[in-house]
Amino acid sequence: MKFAPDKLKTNPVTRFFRDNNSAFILILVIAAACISASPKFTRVGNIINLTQSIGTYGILAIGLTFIFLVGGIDLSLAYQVALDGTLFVIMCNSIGFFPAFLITLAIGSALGYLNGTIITRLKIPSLIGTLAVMTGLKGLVLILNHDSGGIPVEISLFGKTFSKFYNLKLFGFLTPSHIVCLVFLVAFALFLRYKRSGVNMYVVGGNPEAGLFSGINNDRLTRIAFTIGGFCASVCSMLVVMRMNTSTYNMGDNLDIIAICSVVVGGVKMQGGKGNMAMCIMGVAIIQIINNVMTKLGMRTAMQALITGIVVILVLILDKSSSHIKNQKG
Amino acid sequence: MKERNSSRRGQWFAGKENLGVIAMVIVFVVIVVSFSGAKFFTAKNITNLLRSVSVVGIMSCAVTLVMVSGNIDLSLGWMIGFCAVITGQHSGNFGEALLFAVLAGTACGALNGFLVGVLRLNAFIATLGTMYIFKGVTTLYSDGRFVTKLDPSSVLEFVGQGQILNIPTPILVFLLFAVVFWFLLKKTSFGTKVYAVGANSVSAHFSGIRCWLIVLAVYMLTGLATGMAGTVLYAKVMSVQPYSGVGLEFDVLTAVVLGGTSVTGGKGNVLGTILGVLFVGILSNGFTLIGLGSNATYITQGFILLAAMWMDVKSSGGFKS
Repeated sequence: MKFAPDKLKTNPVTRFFRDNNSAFILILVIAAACISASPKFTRVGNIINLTQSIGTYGILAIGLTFIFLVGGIDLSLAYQVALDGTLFVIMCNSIGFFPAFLITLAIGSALGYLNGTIITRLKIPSLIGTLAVMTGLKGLVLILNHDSGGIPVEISLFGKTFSKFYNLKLFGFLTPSHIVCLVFLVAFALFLRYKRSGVNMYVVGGNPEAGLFSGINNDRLTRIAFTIGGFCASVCSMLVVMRMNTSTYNMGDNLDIIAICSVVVGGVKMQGGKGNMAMCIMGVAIIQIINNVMTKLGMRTAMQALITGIVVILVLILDKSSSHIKNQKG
Repeated sequence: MKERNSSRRGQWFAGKENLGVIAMVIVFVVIVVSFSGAKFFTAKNITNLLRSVSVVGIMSCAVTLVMVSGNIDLSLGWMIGFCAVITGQHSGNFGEALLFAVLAGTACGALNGFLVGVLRLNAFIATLGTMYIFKGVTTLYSDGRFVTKLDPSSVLEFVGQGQILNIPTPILVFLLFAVVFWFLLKKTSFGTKVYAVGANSVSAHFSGIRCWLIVLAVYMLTGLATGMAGTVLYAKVMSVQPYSGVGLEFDVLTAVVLGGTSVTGGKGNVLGTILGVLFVGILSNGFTLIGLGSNATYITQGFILLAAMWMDVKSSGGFKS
C-alpha cells in the first residue's frame, strides 16, 4: 500500500527516487538526447519558453492528477478551458480584470463541482457523465464565440497587453505561469501528503470499498477532486487567454489529451490510487521537452504527433502494471 | 449475465435496456412534428436524416462490440480520416480504393487490438496514443492538404451519392453493417464470447475463451467498419480533409451509450445502438427544422445523454463499480 508506515519514515529524497525512478530516468535520457541533438535547446531563451509551457500545461495536468487519483476521468476539460477562457475575456472587456479573474475561478470550480455532482449523485460513470458535460459545454462555447470566431481582449494589465504580461519576467526568468505552477505544485503536494482529505483520496481511487468501511466519504472526495480539476482548468484557461490575447472556440482543443498523455507518462495510474505532483510535472516535462526539441529540429507537426503517440504507447508497454480496462471501472 | 438473458427474451427490441431511448425518440419526434408541422415526415427529410447519420452509424455498430467487450476506442476520428484519405488517393478505381481503405482500417484496428488485447494495455490511454500515431501518419500521407480527384470512379460516386429504389446507398451500407454486426453479436458463438469477455474476463478466461483473440477481433472489425465508413465519407462529397473525422469518436460514443451499451462491458446490443444513432440524427435534424442552430443541439444532446444514463441507472439499480 501507498501509505504503509515504513514508507512514511524514509527521507523525501529516497522516497522520490523510489516512487518515480522510471519517469526520472526517462526525463534524464530524453534531456541528454535533446542537448546532444540540438545546440539551440540549451539556450536560456528556449529553456524559459520550455518551462513556461510546462507551467501552463502543468496546471491542467495537476487538476487531472486529482481526478485520476480518485479513479475518474474528465473528457470535458478541453471545453471547460474554452468556456472559462471565453467568459474571462467577455468579463475582462466589460467589468475589468480583477472581478473577471475571481469570477472565472468561481465558474471553473463550479463546473468541476457540477461534474463531480453528476457522477456521484446520479451514479453515472465519469466517462459518460463528463462526455455529456463536454457536449453541452461545446454548444455554449460555440454560441458565446459567435460560432467559429473569437473575442479579442480589449484591456491591458498594469499598462501592458495580456501577451506582454504573460511573458513578463521577474528576476529575468520567472514568468506568471512559472509562479502559478510552482505555487500549485507545492500547495497540492502538501495537501496530498499532510491533509486528511488529501491522503484519503488515494483510498478512494485505490480501494473504494475499504474507504467506505473505514468511514471515508468517497463521494465527497470525488467531488472535491473534480472541483480541483475545474479550478485548475480555469487557471489554465486564463494563462492561455493571456498568451493568445484572444479567446477562440477551440482554444482548449488537444489540451486535455496532452494532459492525459503527460500524466500517464509520468506514472499516474488512470485506475486511481497512484500518483503525486512529482510524477505529474515530470510527465508534463517529458512531453513538452520532446515537443520542444522536435520543433527546434524543424520537424513537421505530423512527425511530432507520430512520435508523441509512440512515446505514450512505449511508456504504457514499459509500465507493465497497467491493466485491462475491466480493472478500472467508472 | 442476467441482462443478457432478459435481452434474449425481449427478442426484437432487446428488452427494458432500450426502453429509455425508445421513449425519448418518440417524445422527441412528437415535439419536432408539433413545432415544424408535416415537414419532418416527408420522404426527403427522412432520407436526408438517415444519410447524414450513415457514417457515424456504420462505425457505431462496430464500436458496440468493442464496448460490450469492456473496451473503448478513441482513435476513430483520425482512423476514419486516414481511410478516407486513402480512398481519395485511389479514387480512380473503386475496387482498389475500397480494398486499400478497408485494409488500412483493419491494420489500424489490429494495432489497437494488439495493444489492448495482447499486451493488455489500458484501452483508454492506448487508443489515445494510437490516435496520435494515426494523426501523424494521416497528415504525413496526405501532406496536410485536402484530397480530391478530378476523374473519380463512377462506382465510388454511386456508393456516396447514388440511390437504389430511391434509397441513398450510404443508408444501405449502414443497414448492411447493422445487420451483419447484429447477427455477429446475437446469433454467433463469437458474439456470446464477446459478452463473456466484457462481463467478466477472468471467468471467461477460465471457461476456455481466448480473451486476447476476442479483443483483437473486435478491434479489427471496428477497423474494417471504419475503413468502409471512410470510403463512404469520401464518396459523399468526393473530397476530404485529413482532419474531417476529428471529434467523430465522441459522436460514436454518444450514440452507442444512448443505445444502452454499458461502458464497463458485458451489456449492450446493436439494435439499441441504431436507435441511439437515429436519435442523434433526429435531434440535429429536428433542431434545424425548428430553426434552432446546431449549437443548441449540442447543449440538448448533453442533457439528453445525462437523462438517458440516469434512467438506465435507475432501472438497473445502479452501476456496479
